[in-house]
Formats: sequence, structure tokens, C-alpha cells
Amino acid sequence: MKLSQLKENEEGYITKIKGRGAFRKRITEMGFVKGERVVVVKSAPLRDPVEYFIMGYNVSLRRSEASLIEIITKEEIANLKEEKYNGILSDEEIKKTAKLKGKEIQVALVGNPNSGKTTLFNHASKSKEHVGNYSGVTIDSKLAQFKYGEYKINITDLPGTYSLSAYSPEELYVRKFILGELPDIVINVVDASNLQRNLLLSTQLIDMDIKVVIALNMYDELKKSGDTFDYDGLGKMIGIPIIPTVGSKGYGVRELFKKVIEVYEDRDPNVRHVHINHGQEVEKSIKKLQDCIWENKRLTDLVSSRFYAIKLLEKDSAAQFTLSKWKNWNEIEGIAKEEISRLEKLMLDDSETILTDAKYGFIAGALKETYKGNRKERVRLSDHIDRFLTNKYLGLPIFIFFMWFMFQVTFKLGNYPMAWIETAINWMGTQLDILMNPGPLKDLLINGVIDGVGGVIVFLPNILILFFFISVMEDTGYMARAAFIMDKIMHKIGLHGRSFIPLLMGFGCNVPAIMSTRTIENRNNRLVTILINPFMSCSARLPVYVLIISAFFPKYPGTVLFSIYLIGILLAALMAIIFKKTLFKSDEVPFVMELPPYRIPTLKSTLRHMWHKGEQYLKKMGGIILVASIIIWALGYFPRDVEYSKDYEGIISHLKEGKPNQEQAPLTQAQLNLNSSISKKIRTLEMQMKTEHQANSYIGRIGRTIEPVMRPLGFDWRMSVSILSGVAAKEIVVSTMGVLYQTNDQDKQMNEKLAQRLYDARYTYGPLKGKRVFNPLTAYSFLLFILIYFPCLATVVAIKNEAGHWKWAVFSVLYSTGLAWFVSFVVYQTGTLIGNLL
Amino acid sequence: MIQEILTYIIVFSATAYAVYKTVLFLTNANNNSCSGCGGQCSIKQELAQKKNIV
Repeated sequence: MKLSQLKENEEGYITKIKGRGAFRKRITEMGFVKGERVVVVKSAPLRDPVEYFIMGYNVSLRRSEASLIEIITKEEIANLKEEKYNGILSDEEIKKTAKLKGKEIQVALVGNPNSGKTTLFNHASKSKEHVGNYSGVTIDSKLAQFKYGEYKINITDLPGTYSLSAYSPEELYVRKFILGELPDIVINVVDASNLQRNLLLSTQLIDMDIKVVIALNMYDELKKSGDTFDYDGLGKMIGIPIIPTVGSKGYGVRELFKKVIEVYEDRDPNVRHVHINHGQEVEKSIKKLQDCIWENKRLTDLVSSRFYAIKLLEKDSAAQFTLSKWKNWNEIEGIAKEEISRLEKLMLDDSETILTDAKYGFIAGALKETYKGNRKERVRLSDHIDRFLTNKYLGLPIFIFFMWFMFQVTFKLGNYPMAWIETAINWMGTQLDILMNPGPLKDLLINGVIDGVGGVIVFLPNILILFFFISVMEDTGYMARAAFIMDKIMHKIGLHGRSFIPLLMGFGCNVPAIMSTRTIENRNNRLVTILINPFMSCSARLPVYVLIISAFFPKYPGTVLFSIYLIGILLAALMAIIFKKTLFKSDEVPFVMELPPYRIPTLKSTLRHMWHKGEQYLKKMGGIILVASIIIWALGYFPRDVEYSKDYEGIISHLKEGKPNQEQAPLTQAQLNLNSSISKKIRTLEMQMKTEHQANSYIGRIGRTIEPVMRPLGFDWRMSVSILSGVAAKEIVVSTMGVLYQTNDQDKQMNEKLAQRLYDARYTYGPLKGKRVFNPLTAYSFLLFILIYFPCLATVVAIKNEAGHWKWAVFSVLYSTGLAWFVSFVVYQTGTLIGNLL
Repeated sequence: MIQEILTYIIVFSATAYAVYKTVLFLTNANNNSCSGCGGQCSIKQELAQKKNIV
């Protein structure tokens, strides 16, 4: 708790001093040090200041100052020591606990996008955050906690930013976090292969006068390029220790946190606050503003007056807003305007540019002394690859080829392990059939659980292969190129390349993809990107595609799968154009798209990505898919007492009575023929009875209610029910089909693949009775419906959260389902018409 | 008979679980933090980590 929270006569023990600069120095000199006892003597009449007793004398502090001192009370210490506590706490023990409590360090990770923050975070915290070789992977702050020696480190991964201005939501977020949460140490992750640009953020952190440690990440790349960099020398020059790291391999991570502790405990002699020299004239303006800002002591105890002075000269709106709440704002504002105008007239440039130029000048100077570049070869290599991959004419066909190749391999290679899993599942079904007596439980296990869950689990290899490719494309840097290639096309549909990253992420899961739209500043562009995102086929839809395609398009599976993904992308583009021209008209914002150098992905990172995805898939099997399969089975199994069109049981028993007894004597040929004919009749009757039962079961009734709406698309009631169940999660479409499309021949049921059962499925009633349910046209129309309709529930909630209102979630559900119906209708009816004409 | 009892137990448990999950999901939907995508997004992990710290 904070010292300011203590009441009169209460006491506590100091665990940490926050704040900065002069305040910190003064307060420490007064005796406010870790482990020291402090008692509240009394408050002034207006509750401020408060008198405290420390080290044998009384000191008075303002509440705002006291709020920067963290303490622990005796009760809290006793609670911490619950097991050993015997009612007495010795002074030594209390001081020790207070000091130990002070060994909890709040660390914030900041850095440019794609500088490897998240990789470093994952390595340090053993976490599995998603990492990609393109900017904007971190869309929110992430927290983790771990122990380093006797220190507890709470680490926060903040979104990537190029600077700490107030232009983008990420920049503001990072700035607010540093100024509001006051982390003990900020780790500035700097990409060693792009020092100049990365160090701009470091210079702004220097302005903030906070404790910083620089992680010189991807140091191996710098070394490999043959460059030499005296990072130690630079660290001494700027007063910030620099530790080389390779986040992906974990090199230097221990040293980094060792240094964090040293800086936290003020044990590093090289740490000092330096002023970046912005030139005589700018410095004069900064000083003038600082003098005025200093009058607000409560503010400058927390944030450097120099930082605010610089920000005001940069015309930073967030700084203006913060300072406008302080008493002498009018005076500050007046001076700021005056100084900006003086500088702009003097230097004939925008004040912001003047300050940024000065910072780059500082960086250039610092690097000139410490850095010797020999990076021609690597840049040339990346450039060389780019000349081909992002070529004006070849770029797009190459990208399309890569996508096609990815789906082709997903299919072809996935078929082998898929067949093994299928065999294992069939074997399980057969064993259960042999071991168990007939009854509802046996039916539930075989036709519900095994057919439902087993039907979905076979697609695990396909999911893993697809994610292997996506992961490789992301980690190498090709995805960033894909965004670059698509940038021009995105501009044509009214969005910019930045919207392409969330769309790409949608291939994995639409939920994080929709969340990642936070990086898009323009609200209208953001809403359009959110609304078109569900057209990107997420991995949950892949099992449905693979099932239907393997049943009805065995000759060109990869191409058909590719066409579905492509139609999704084209539809997204089309809808974006329509939305931009009708609902969300807005101007384009210029945007720089960065191309990170190509990197060879580590096997560990790729496998971890794949495994993470596989793990989620398997978890879904044991959870939502299993539950849904059981419920769908129960809805199809009950009620048991349905009214049949004829007395099947009576007829069957009558037929059984007429069968010649095989045990009595060897049967003649005529009797054998009769026996076989009766058995066939019985099987047909049983089949009719089962089908009639299913059609009259609860699920049959639901299906037949919605069937008229879906009939124009060529769907039977079982397809309609499968679509309905897919609302919860798209994989459930497959498990529902597994439960609903049963053959009536038990032996066949055991061994027949779901794809084959779909192929054999026929209408059992109505005008189409006896005809096949599926043909390639119906199958394709079904695939399109699955692609376009209702995004799953989780996505709908994500849309609501990100768009800020339920109306957008409802709109998304309605327009996508309506569009799905329309597209499937057009495809099915046009196809049927052409088929009839031919 | 045993088969029937077990079947009912399984079906009712599954239904109860589905109802519980739906309620949980809708509650989460309103607190503006988790979309309930079943762990596919990183937020769930983040919330779990936050919980550990608190």
C-alpha cells in the first residue's frame, strides 16, 4: 500500500520509493529508505500536508509525495508469514520482510514494432504469446511474473511504437502506461539491425528521466553482418546500460535481468540522466518552459518537466491536455506558443521537425563514435529477394502461388496422418460394438461421441500443416511483404495496407484478428476491417472444407480449397468497397509500411506456434465439440416413442417368424434364398424405421422447420441443422454431420468414412426421395455458405467489444448470413439451370 | 437399465455444462474483456496472468 493511505497513529515499513529526480534524492536523504519504520503523527487541518515520524524525528510530506512511497504494515507482514507467525514479530524480521517486499520489480517492455519485444517477453516469462515478423503483433499490454534469484519480476509487454508522441493509440497507450503506472524499470528493446530508427524512442525515454535498460536485441544479426558496435561505449555515453540479447534463442536474457536488478538497486555506476542537446535555441525554449512547469511540484515529482517542455514544443495534444489541468496553464500555454513561433521563424521549419531532427542528430553523432557498419551484404540479400518477391508484376502471382501451394500441401500431406487417425477411430468404434450390449449408452458412444468427436479430430494434421506454413511465412518476414504487395489493392478498396494484417491474422482466428484492428487509427477504416474480417476463413472452418472437398472434389482438392479462401478475400474486398462508398466514407491516411529484413525462422518458434494451435484444437475436442456431439445425439435419439407411418416392429417380428430355422437341419437352396430375401427386407425396414425416427426426433423437427428456408440452396434438413449448430463454433458443423449422417448398416457404419457417408446420403421423403442429398454443386454451395455465414459467437462478441456497440455485432450477423444465403442461392440455382440446359 | 441411467447422466451433464458455459460466456461478453473464443486469443492468457499477480 501507499504511505498516503495510512491513518493517524498507524505505522508501516517502507518497501519502495517511486517518483524521480530531485524528489527521490531528497526523500532518500530524509531517511525514507527501504525497511525503515514510519508512523503517521497527524494531518494538517485540510488533510495536507501530513506529519510523519521517521528515524527519530518528524517530517512533513504532502499527500501526493506520500503516495509515491510504498509501505507494508505489520498486519500484512504477519499475513505473509502465516505459517511461522507466533504473535511476535521481531524488528529484524519486519525490516527483512519489508526489504524483501521491496524486491518486487515492475518492468515494462517498450520498443519499436517488430523489434522482438514479444519474443523476449515469451522467453523471460516462459509464455506463449503469438509472435510474427510484422508490426502490430502486440495489441494490448500483457503481463507475466517470474522469479529471478530473490527478486520477483512483474513484466509488462507494451505495444510496439516508433516514438512517444500522441499520434497513434499505441503511442498514447505506452506513454500513459509509463507516466501512470510508473514502472520501476523500462526495458527498451532495440533492434540491433536498425539502430538509428530504434534509438529515436530511446532518446524520448531519456527525456522522461526514468530508469531504462536497453536490450540490444537480435544482436546475432548485427554480428553476422560484420558490423562492429561498441554498445558499452554508447551505454556510458547516454547513461543507460545496454545489454546485447537474442530473444529468439534466449541469449543475454539472464544478463538483461541481472542488469535490471542492478539499475533498480542503484548499483550501476554508469546510470545517469543526460540531456539530449537540441541546439542552443531549442534548449533556451525548453528552459523557459521548464521554469514555468516547475511551479507544479506535484506534477514534476512524477514526470520530468523537461519531457513536458519538449512535448509542448512539439505541439503534442496529450501533453497540452495534461498540463491544462494545472494552475498556471495559461502562462505555460502562452510561453509555448511564443517559443514555437520564435523557433519556427528562426529555423524556417515546423517545431516538431526541428526537435526530431535534433534527436536524429544526437543519434547520428552517438553512432558515429560507436558503430562501424559493414552491412551491405545482408541488406543486399534482403533487397535481392525483395526485387523478386515484391516485384511490380510478379509479386501478386507469387503470393497467390504460395497460398495455392500451402493449401495443396495441407491437403495432400495431411491425407496420410488423417487416414491413420481414421483407422484408429474406426477400430475404437468396432471394439465398442463388440464389447457392449445394445442399448442407449452404446448408441451414444458410437454414434454420438466417436462419430462426432472422431469426425473432427481427424483434421488435426491439416490444421497443424496449415499453421506450419503460416508460421513460417510470418517468421521469415514474407507476411509483411504480403501486406506490402496487397497495400496497393487495399488502397483501391479504400483501406490501407495496415488493414491487411488483421485480415491475415483472420486465417488463424477471427477473434484476435478483430482485436488487432486497434492499430488502425481511423474509426471508419477500423469498422470496415472488423466487418469484413469474418470472410477470412479461420482455422475452425478448415475441417468443414476438408471434409466436403475430400468427398466431392477428390480430383482437385487443393485448388477447390484455395478457391474458397480466395472467394473469401474477394468478398471481403467487395464488401469493403460497398461499405466505404455507403456507410463509412472517410479519407485515406498516409501510412508507411515497413519491410523487416528476411530472417530464417527458428524451428522452436515454428513448432511452438504449431503446437499451441494443436493444443487449442484438442482442448476444443474435449470441451465444446464433445458436449455438442452428445447434445446433438440426444436430440436425434429422443423421444423414443415417435409415431411411425407403419408398425415396423410388428412387421419385422412377423417376417422373423417366417424365416426357416437354420439350426434344425441343413437348408435347401430355396430355403436359403427365402432366408436371404427376408433378411434383406428386415434390413430395409429397420433402415426406414431409423430414418423415420430421426426425422421425427427433436433435431429432425428443428431441421424440418428451417429446411424450407434452406431448400432453395439445395440443403436437406441435416445440413440445415449442421449449419445451425456451427453458430457456437464452426467445427461443430462436422461433428453434427458425423452424428446425423449415419448409414443404417451397422457394419458399414463402423468402417465407412464420414466423407463416404455424405456421398451416399439420400433423401428419404418428399419430392426428392431416393435422390442423392449432395452433388458437387450442392457441396460447393454448402462450402460457400459455411465461408460467409454467421461468424462464430466468440467473433460476434469480439466485434461488439471492439466496435463498442452491440448494433455492429447484430449488423455483422445479419448481413453475413443474408449474404451467405444469397451467394449460395445464386450459385446453386445458376448451376442447376446450366445443368438442366446441358 | 444401467445403460439408460448412465446415458441420462451424461446427456444431462453435457446440457448443464453447455448452459453454464453459455451463461459464463454472456457474462464475459458484457464485461468488455474476453470474447470467449476458447483460448484462441491472447487475452485469456493475459487475464489468467493478471489473476496470478493479484
